[in-house]
Amino acid sequence: MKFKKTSIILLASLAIFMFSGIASAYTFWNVGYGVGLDVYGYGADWSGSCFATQVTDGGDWRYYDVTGVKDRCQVYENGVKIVDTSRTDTSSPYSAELTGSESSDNESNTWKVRSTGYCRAEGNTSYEYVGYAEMWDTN
Amino acid sequence: MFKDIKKYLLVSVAIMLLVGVTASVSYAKSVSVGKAKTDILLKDAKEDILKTFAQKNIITDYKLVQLVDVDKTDKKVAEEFDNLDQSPIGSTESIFYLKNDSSALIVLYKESDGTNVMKYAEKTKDGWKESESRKPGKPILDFDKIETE
Repeated sequence: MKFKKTSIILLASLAIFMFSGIASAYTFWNVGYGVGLDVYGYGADWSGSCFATQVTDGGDWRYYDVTGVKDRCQVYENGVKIVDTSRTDTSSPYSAELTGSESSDNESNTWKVRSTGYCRAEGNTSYEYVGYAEMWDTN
Repeated sequence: MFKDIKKYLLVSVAIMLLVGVTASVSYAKSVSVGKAKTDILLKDAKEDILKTFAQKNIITDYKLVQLVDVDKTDKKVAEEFDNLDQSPIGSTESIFYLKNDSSALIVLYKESDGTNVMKYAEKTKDGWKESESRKPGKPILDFDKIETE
């Protein structure tokens, strides 16, 4: 009888240990992205970023086990694509940032930059779309 | 003496105001010219692309959408638009069409040599079935030669 009681206690302890082990095996993340554009004279400076922020379990999280982030920036001058580039970051803290400067021979140009954020998470080997941000301006 | 200074100040302020207003008007005009020229370039490209593919059902069965709106309402559709939107350097900004029932989408753009490209994706049980069509088109307008007035 005493043996049975001890077994139950041991099993319950094991279950609690395993549950806490499973729960703590995951990491929880939010992934954000941004864009920047500053026009001046005949040119423009642009930037784009994608970053993952770890949050506590039970908080407002969107992805678990993030292993990388990626940002893609497309820049358009007067409606025509002049830049299409991307960068990834596979080590924590995850933050992929892109910046650039463009110039034109003429004034009165329209500049547009689109930054698209991606993340690799939840055991996947490929990056999935998170969202995009866009800005435009003229000089 | 005091009257002269007052007169001088009034004239100076008037000149400064005049210069400021002229500069502001000139800047605003310059900014709107750049935007207007870009709009003309993109409109011309769009008309040629639609004419080339002669897709009447694009107008009737699809709606022209902005990525920002799609991104807010349907991430899966936005992701597929992003998959299709892989235009090379020198292409015009892509145009996005979504079928009214969201079962298919189209991305259109003109490449630097004038080639018109239509990328298409249709929703399937497992994801999206993609296809691409390319046809010769007229060259992209020379931005510097576009006249707004």
